[in-house]
Amino acid sequence: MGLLTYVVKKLLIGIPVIFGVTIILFYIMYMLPGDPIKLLLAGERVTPAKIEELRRAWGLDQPVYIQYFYWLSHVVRGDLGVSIVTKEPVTFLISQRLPYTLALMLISTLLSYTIGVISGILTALRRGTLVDSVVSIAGIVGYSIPGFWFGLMLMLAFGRYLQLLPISGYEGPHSLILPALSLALPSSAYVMRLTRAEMIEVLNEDYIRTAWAKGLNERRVLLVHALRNAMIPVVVMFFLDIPWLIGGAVVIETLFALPGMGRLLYVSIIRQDYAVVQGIVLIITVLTVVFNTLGDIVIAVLDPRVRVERGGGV
Amino acid sequence: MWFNKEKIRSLGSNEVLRLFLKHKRGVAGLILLSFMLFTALTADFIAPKRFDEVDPSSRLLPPSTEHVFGTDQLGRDIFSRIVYGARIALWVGLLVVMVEAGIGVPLGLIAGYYGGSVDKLISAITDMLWAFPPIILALAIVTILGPGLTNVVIAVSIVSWAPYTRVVRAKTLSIMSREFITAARAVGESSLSIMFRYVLPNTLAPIIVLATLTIPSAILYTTALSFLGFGAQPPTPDWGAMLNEGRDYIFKAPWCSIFPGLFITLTALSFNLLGDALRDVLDPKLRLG
Amino acid sequence: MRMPEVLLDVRDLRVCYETSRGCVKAVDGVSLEVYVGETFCLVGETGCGKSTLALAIPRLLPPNARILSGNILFKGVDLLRVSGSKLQELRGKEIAMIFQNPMTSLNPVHRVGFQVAEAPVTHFKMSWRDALATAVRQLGRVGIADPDMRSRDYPHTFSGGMKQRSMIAMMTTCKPSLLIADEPTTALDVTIQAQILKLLHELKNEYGLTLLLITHNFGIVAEVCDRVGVMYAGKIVEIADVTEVFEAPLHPYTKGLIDCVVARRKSKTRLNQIPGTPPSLLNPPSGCRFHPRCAYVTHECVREEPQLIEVRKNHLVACHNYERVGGVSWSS
Repeated sequence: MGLLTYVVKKLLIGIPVIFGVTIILFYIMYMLPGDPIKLLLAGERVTPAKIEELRRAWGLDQPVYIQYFYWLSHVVRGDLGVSIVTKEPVTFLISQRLPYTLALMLISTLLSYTIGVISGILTALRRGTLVDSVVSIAGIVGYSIPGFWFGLMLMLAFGRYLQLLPISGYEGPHSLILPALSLALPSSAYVMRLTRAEMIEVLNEDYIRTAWAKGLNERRVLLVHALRNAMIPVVVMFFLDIPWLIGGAVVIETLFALPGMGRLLYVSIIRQDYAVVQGIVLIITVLTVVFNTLGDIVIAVLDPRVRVERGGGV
Repeated sequence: MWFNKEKIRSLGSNEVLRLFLKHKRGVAGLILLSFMLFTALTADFIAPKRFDEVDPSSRLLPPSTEHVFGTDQLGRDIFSRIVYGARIALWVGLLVVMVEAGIGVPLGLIAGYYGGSVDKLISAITDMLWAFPPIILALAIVTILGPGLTNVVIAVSIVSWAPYTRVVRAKTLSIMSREFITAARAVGESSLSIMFRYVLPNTLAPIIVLATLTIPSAILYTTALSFLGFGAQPPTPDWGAMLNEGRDYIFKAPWCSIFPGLFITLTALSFNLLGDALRDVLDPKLRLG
Repeated sequence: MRMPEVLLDVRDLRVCYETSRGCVKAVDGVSLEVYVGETFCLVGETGCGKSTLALAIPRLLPPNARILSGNILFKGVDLLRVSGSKLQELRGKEIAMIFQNPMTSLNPVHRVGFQVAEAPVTHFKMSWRDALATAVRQLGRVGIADPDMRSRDYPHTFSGGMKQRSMIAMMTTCKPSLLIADEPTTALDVTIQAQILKLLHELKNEYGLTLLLITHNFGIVAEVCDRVGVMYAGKIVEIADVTEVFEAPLHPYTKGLIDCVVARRKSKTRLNQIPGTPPSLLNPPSGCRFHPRCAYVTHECVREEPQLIEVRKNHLVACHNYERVGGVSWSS
């Protein structure tokens, strides 16, 4: 089938998937412990009748599926509810913090993929040499280090000894450097490994020999023939990785006290502010589906063999 | 014979051992792991103090001959806590992998064996679960179930059984096309029997490699959750929890934060090195990611 | 008689592959000449070193191969001592090569027309527009129907035969002097095989190119070749015109191979096999490498390795007992 058909198909599948996931999501949120009404009142003395009245007002006495549609109708209008703790609209809270998280993820991805791809290509070309061994081992160590511990060590180094970069809170874009490094470390090691493995495999393929046989120069063989093939899994990994990066961002933002969406999620879970939690998880879910679909589309654009649709499967 | 001896003999156990020993990284990983294992097993003997022994007069002391790794904010000996923490880390890693495999392997077998819409369903669920950021999902599960190591184990297992399903499914599919399966079915052998007698033994090698390679991420996720406060509760000497406690004193007493993380790294590293070597030796076709 | 012009002159070439057990001598002292305009067939069993020899010429050997010594003279230039950039100039333009497995020899992510056009763009500095037009013409010339549309397709939509045709188009667009074909039909169906061979023959005449054909199939040799070189265990054992080789082979190995082909052709009920198996290239037999399997073996064969000498006009053989070989068949 053509590329366009493939893309449209993937997009169409994405929509019911988003709905399906929101249903699961809503149900999980529904099961979370803690009575929102009690939290709302937090110590105030109220009669049971008043509690019931509030419960009805919030629609919390309705069955699950009614609550779901009620919630969904608000969501599509951009209303994600109100924070039980701060009484501010969830949408507002998130939109305040989302840019910081996005900036962090952007810088981190740039770092990890630049370092990862370049070192991956270099070690593949110098396979078997000392450089290869050293860098490869550095890579294995890289994804064995917990990102949050690396962040702590960076904090120690820069907070106590080097005094160059801020280690807490947001003072400007340079506040994102250390967090981005922490987030990028394990990721760059994986990217390097994948790039190296793919390059080595591609360089052994027959069509590379054909390219040499045509008299093409080294640069052309490497770029147009080898990299063009080897980079496909790496590019796809890029798209599938981004949702995962959000998870890491939760930990890193908490560690570095950045005013991002990840830290908001953490804080909200602890404060049992479930409206906020729900809103953030919804956004993360949508982003996950979007980026996975993008990944599916990109691989079809890059690799024409994929456009021939075969039986489903993992 | 219920085992597919042909496969094992073709490997030749001596050959496997010889190839493994040539792999320097793998040997290094094995040594490191043995060291960790030894620490965990002999914790009672090598730890000078109990891990929960509080001593307010010795708060936040730097490393010395008495306290090799220093003391934490409650005066507890960090070295002892690290040593007992090894037990937790290894045990948790093992548990997570067992539960993951317990879920993932049967699903992979079923998907590969029956194919068709069963396969599609299982694959779709597996894909969707795997796509979602695992930390967030694990957080959600832990929030529902409540904090504590047991729940962390459950949560982490649920978010990461996908690799097992994928690998087992792929192997099952390749075995299904071989003649002895058709023969067994023709003779009227039950599906369950076929799966256990023929398919499963052939998936053992990739499962072992995968298990070794997924223990590090299990350890990293569980310690991350403990670091956020959702995992092990005090006074349990989980390395992630120790990092959380040491965070406040990072400048006054950096040793509280340096050593737990260092040991997490070393443990994860040992499994990664070992798994790398095992993969090269047993099944070079297994790929990362 | 006019002396034929030598296009390719291989002199005492030695190539080995590095393995954990030592360096396997795949090509151990091979010398041969290929004349301008002929079709030279290099024949032998799998593993005799013929592919290694073929790959050594444009220096496309795998990374674990070591060229130990020797010269490969192409139009007077020693390919083994020439610079990398000069080699690039020659490849695709003067010396072209097509490989055994067309299924994996085309880049899956680029369109076929693009891949065919790359050579003229590189060597003749053609514009892409002109090169693509040339590519379409060439694809049509090699027998691909609807070449304009097909040139915009990707390789995975092509059949095996079409892929090999595309390879041929790719390698002949620049009208090379020498085309090396390493078992070009082995991976294809029998019907396609004949078509490809016919195509190669046509192109040879049309472009005046010299064809070095590697094969293990004596049937093909009989069909298309002018001269034949027989290889065994890394060495050349016989070189002669094709009719000579079939009518009067002088080496026991060649004779054994011919007898098989002839027997099959005449549908005899029993195929005469050459007893034994090819030797290890790591530790080859002493003296003549064929002696363990030879019916004419003498003490001299075990002791001393026979040299490749011209014993009749344009007929070289490496055997101590070649005079006895003519006229005696295995079955008697």
